[in-house]
Amino acid sequence: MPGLTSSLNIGLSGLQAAQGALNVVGHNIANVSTPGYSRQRVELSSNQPQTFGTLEYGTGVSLSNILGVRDKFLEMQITQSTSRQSGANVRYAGVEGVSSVFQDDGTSGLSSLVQNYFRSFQQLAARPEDGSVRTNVVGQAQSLINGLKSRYQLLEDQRTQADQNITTTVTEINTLTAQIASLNDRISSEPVPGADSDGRDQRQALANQLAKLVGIQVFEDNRSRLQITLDSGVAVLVSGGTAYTMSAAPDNSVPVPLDNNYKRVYVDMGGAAPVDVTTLIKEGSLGANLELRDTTLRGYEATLDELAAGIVGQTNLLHRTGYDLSGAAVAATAWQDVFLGTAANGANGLPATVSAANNYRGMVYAMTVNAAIVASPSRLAAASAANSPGNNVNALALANLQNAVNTVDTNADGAGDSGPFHTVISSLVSTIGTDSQRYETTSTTQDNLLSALQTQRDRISSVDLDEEATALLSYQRGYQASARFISVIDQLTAQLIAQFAT
Amino acid sequence: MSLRTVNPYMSYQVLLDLQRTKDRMANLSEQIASGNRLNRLGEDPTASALVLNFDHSIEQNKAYIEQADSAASFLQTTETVLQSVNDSIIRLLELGARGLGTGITAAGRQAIVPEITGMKSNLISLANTQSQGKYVFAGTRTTTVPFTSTATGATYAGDHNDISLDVAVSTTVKTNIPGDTVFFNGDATAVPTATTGPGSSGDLFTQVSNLIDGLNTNNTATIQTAFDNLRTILGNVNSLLADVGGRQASLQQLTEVTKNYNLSLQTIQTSYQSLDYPTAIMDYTNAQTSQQASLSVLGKSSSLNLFNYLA
Repeated sequence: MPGLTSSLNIGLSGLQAAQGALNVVGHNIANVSTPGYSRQRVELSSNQPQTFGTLEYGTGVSLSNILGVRDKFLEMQITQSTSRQSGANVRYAGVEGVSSVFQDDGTSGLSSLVQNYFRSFQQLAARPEDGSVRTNVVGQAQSLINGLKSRYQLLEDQRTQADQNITTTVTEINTLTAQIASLNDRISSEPVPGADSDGRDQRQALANQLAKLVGIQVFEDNRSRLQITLDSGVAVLVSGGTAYTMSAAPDNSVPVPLDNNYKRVYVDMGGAAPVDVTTLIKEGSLGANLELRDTTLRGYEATLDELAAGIVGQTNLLHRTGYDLSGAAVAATAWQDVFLGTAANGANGLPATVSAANNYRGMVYAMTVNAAIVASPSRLAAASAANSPGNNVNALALANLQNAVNTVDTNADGAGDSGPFHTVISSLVSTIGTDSQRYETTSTTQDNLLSALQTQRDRISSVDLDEEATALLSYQRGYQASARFISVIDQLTAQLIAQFAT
Repeated sequence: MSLRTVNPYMSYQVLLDLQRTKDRMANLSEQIASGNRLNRLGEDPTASALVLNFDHSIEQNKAYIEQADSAASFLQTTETVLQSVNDSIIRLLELGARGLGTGITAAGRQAIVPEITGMKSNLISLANTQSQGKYVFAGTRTTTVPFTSTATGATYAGDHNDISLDVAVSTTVKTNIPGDTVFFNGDATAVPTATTGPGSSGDLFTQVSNLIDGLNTNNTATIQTAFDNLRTILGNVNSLLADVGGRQASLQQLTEVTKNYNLSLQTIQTSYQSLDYPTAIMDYTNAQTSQQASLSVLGKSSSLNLFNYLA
């Protein structure tokens, strides 16, 4: 039969267990507002009993483990969902940033500019002899060019913005992956599996931050280390205790100013050369910025180039057949073309630097109104016959271009395949609107999904103050009772000592 | 209960819903302030593109109306000049008839000449009328003075070409009558016939000069021929007047049609673009109520806690 000292030890184990448990309750309450904190609970177990004869006497309680309450599959889902949500938000913001400029307010919209340009030819047809009408044609042509250029520039600014974001994002990604790798090391060396709950919380928070930046897939290996790959599954960012560095380097293959040496993204996985992952990142702000820069915004730019090439080519070809106010043919003069590029115009009326093969890239950049015509608008060829200043046939033909079909080449084959110019603009507007709507919807859906997952995670892992208050009470009572027990044993001991004192 | 329910004020869903309500309110107030349903392309991409297409049609029609107005102003000028020419010929015929009278002397005939000479130079200046910077009766050579008076009539420096303007999609209207058609009764550049071209019986100025000649030389036969030819020319001018009047009438009708069409286009466009105020305001009020309700519930529930009841 155990002695009094042994009973004192039982009391002590109760005190220690209750104090430890209270400590954990305190830790939970202290972290009630910490984002990503998983509540911890204690595992109490009764100690190995002592055998006296046929009886087994208990030896008290011990606090065997402190565990975080978490569902790691839910956490992985949250990480991946975070990538998609952040990607959708960045895409939405990127498209929304340019969409207002393509909205037509009836006076300065792209559609109005094109319309005013052709209307100026109609006015020229009414009064081809009038110098002020001719000056107006030049002015409207310049407004059209300015309008196209400013919109193109805005798209380019957004692309540059996206490109700059890529550089800063890559730096942040490297910091995060290094931290995750070192936490992986710490967690894999924990004494009891699952003991390092706070380490896991930190790692999960870092993984979610990383997921915001770049689309990733995560899974835990058999030593609880988080393995991270890009969302396309191709390149590895973190494997065990090793983080692989991501880098961004300028791509010089496309000349400035068409592309401002936009950066390509690489992951150095220890091979001979870093792996180019530019097209392998789908989600996260990095994936979204890459898509905005290389596909979405670039696509809008291509439409502007095609539209400009259509207007320039068609105008120039018709203009060449006409006669100016002095009655002379403009063909083969310095003012045979209304619009010029940096390189001389070819037989198709477009600068030689611009080709159908790459969607007339650079057309908007290159286009200017022919300086010879700006200097002397009487050189505009409104007439279709020599020495007839009142003849307006060519001006009418130029004005009617606005209703002609197949004036814009939208599929890079060198032949027109569109409706009239204004339909190209309205389809661009509709594309941008649809993109914006789509990304907004995706972003809302992902928000909903993520918040549902977060709520579910909170139901499992977050601290509930009512629950902690109850635990606090019960451990407090446990502690008080154990203390009372010790005091009883103490009294027994005191009585014993007093009995034998004399 | 299978799942724990944690403190409601920690819930992401509540926060998200509150944000959405706020977002909706901001959107609605923007719409209400601008009166425009389409403040962003993403709100309704199809309608945005449609509005743009309607805009194009409306603006194009406006441009056509503008063209029709220009055409009408040229035709108006042409009509006014033809009317004056018509009046002048009638006066010439009166004077010619007086010259053919039996009771008139040679001196009496010569006394008529100064008025006719004045009328000839008057007719020349009518033929050289300018409107909006162009000579109306010069064909397409609108910057050249078309008619120059000579002793026997006048020379023509214009051409025989028409000028047309587009007043609707693939609808054109001729805005001029070449000067040689009016004053020479035919193409001045072609080989003249007995009735057409310079010097022919259809040449107004030659006939006026002949009349002067006949009156000066007291030659009734010449006066008679000129008188007869002038009557034929009067008929020609009258039919040209009718032609111009007809063109103006059809132009006016076309403009009316285009304006009406534009009105209906604008009505349709407005239906896509403008805001339905009652609905928007009701939506706004609803959003406001729901926001206030959730805020007050959140405020109350956040103070509920077991710790409040522990001593």
